[in-house]
Amino acid sequence: MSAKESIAPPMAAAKMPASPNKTGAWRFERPILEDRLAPCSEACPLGENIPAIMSLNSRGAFKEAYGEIRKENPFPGICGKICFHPCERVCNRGRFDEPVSIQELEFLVTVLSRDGVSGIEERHGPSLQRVAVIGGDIAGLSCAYFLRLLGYTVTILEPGARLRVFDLPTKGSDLNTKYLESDVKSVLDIGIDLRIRTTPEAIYYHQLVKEFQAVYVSPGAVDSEAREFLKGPDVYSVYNAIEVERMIRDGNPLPLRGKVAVTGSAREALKTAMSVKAIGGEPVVLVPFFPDDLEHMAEDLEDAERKGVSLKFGSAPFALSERDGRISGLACFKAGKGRFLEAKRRGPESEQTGSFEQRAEAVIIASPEKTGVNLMPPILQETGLVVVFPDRFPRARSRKLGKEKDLSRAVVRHMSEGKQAALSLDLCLRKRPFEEIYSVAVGRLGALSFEAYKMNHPHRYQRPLGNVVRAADLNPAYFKKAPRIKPSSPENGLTRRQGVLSARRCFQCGRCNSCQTCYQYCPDLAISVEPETGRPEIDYDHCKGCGICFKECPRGAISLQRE
Amino acid sequence: MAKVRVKEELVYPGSFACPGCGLMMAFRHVLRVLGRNTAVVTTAGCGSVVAGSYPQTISKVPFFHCSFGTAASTAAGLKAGYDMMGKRSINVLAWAGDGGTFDIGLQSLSGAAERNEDIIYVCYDNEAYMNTGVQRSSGTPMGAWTTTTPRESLEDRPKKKMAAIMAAHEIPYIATASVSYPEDLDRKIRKAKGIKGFRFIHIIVPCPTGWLYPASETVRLGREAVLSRIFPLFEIMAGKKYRLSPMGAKTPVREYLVSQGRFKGLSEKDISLIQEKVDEYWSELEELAARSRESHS
Ligand SMILES: Cc1ncc(C[n+]2csc(CCOP(=O)(O)OP(=O)(O)O)c2C)c(N)n1
Ligand code: SF4
Ligand code: SF4
Ligand SMILES: [Mg+2]
Repeated sequence: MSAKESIAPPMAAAKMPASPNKTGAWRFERPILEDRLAPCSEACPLGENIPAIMSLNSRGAFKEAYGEIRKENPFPGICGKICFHPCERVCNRGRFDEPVSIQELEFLVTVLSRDGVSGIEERHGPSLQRVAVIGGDIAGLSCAYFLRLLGYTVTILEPGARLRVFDLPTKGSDLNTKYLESDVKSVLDIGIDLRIRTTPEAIYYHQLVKEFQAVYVSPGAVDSEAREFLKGPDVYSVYNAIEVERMIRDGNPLPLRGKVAVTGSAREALKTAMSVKAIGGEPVVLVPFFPDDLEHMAEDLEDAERKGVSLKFGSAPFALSERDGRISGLACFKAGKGRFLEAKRRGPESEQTGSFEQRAEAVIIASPEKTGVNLMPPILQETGLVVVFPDRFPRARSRKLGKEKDLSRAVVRHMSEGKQAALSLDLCLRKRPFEEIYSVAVGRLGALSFEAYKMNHPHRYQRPLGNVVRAADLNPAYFKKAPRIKPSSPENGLTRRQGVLSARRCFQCGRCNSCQTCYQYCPDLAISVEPETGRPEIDYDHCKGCGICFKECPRGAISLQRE
Repeated sequence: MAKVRVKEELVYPGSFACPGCGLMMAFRHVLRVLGRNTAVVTTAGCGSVVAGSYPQTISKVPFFHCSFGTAASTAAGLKAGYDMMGKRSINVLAWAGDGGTFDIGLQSLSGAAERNEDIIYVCYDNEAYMNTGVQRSSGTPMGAWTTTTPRESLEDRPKKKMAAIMAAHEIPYIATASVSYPEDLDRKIRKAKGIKGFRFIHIIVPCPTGWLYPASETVRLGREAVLSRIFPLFEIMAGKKYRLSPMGAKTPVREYLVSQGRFKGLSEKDISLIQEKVDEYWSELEELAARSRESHS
């Protein structure tokens, strides 16, 4: 008998694969692979994609990491030195051993790789449009930067002899002149025009409207030069409560006749409303709360009503409305009871129960920074010039940025303010509703993602709110304790090598990094790995929903959803 | 976890294994490492049932169902058959549960090991006769509930030390492994593949259905078993040379026990008794490993 011949006795042999059995039908919970938001990114006022940055750093790709930072932050050098790094405070690694050195890495990356961001995006519609930024402070530069990245032609008008950003105190703070200068230079280098020593006439409305389609008035300019500019048409009827009080005190005539909408913190708004009443206006106070929430000021409320101030509870203004090129009042959400502030941040789809317009001749905003009301920048559209003022304007503090006690917070806040202004302005020029800005909110702490905005389909960032990866969502079995690396001297910062090691400490919260853990453990071979990207893919025909991938994913990149 | 390169999978999806089945995980890894040039022999048990019922199969390599308790002898016969056909390079894998290994398969296993048959014997250990409805086996750990060791009279004998029995046969290679450490498991299978003679691999495969825990916990339990050392990982070369493969600092066994329904109702005294047993076995192993290091250095 030849060895080749079959020696097996006749028997049944199964040759059909079992794969046609759709065992996915057994499932009652569905694992979903979707990137989730890292707490550091949510906390970053600029919404930087920190896990992505860390991933690049951990491979020594510092230049690429710099580019990734600059997608959201025009000033990595400044931030690397003075940012108050809220990211590190919430870093999940902090619960495990010590937070990742996010800020020190930002600085290192900047030192190792400064050269501008290339690739100015030419957007079809507005690319030919010209925008002026009055005032070259941090917010002005930030706004200019993002507008330029959106394809606009941007000119900064600076009445002074140099950009006022250089007035920031560099003595006695960590803000080193060298990094300030190089950050500013790399912002201007992307192709932003700069005009210094502009005459007052140059920023007159009538002048601007000849050359520009839109203007952003930086916070530093709002209370000074912009006054000039606003001498233009009679469209400006939005006031700061402080300013109103001051002008009434000084006996300046104010055009506050007819209905005047007052909003802001309830106490301040009431006070201002009384003053308005006293000079003959008809104040309407818009309060996002309900009398129950305001028990502590019940007497004041009664008093105000008695004196003819009308009170509208449960009204949360979100934008100035405009008719025929004039401010016509405030657009408001009807806020549901409770949790108003949150509803406000989340935007219109949340707990509001509808909206209405409060018509008014003038609008007064009382201490908006205290209320957290994220007021839409006033948009005045007369003769086609779009004017965007800083968010939460007019803020008395804005002007004194450099003198503020917490320089770090103020500077970073202005960076994000500039970003928001740029996005608002673009929406406005493209005649899109302002609410769209909420779709690029990075979590719920107020940061916006420019990258998501630019991509125009923000799914990368648009994660369900509250879907931030918490320490409990991670699987600590996959991480080893490793203490934070301390630079040998704080001035020099981390070395390259230390930078790589520091970045490797990042857990990559919520960001699938193709570690293949889920793939290895799936008992039903329902997860495959895309050969090119290493990205896992779930086969729902066979996934029985055991939830092992969800439990084991080291970084919480898989969620379970009831079928 | 470091990358394990993606190799060809030799198992089809669509098995009728319970969600979260540990043995499926083990089977998949073992086959993937052994590769296409493999034939499997299995005895009755979950391992044979999840393999598919005629005319379906989950295996891309030949898969032979033999009678209960005869995996080792059948595999040895198959290997001999292949040798006669000149197909000497085929890996023959005997794939059997704890019941089919520790209890009823023991004599055929011992015979094949003693003859040093050139096969790889993998015992996937779910610590009871699962397929017939969770009856105790001599692989069931002390304190565990099964249908034949109900709450009123829980298992009171220690788990049989299979590795020691196999070591007594002085076979070339013995290893224990866990599905929760696929890299280690893969390495041990790869190593076994490169050795001639009888190779015995003992893999702990948590079973949500029989151990009474949520399906998503399989990997965690397979990890806790190893970390607590209730299922210690080690290798024995030539029946003498012990090498431990600890996967991290030793943890108390309590954490492992309390997360499983089968250990529900154990008293603190029971738990400390189990802990004692675990400690005792682990220090025995440590000693054996230390002695092996000395005599080989
Ligand atoms: C000779 C014989 N006795 C009993 C049985 C019934 N039987 C089928 S599977 C099984 C249990 C097998 O237990 P184990 O080997 O631990 O595998 P598991 O099902 O747990 O995977 C038994 C007793 C049988 N098929 N043949
Ligand atoms: S570990 Fe990394 S991704 Fe997670 S919070 Fe910290 S820096 Fe962010
Ligand atoms: S386990 Fe790894 S590969 Fe799978 S989703 Fe999580 S990060 Fe991605
Ligand atoms: Mg069994």
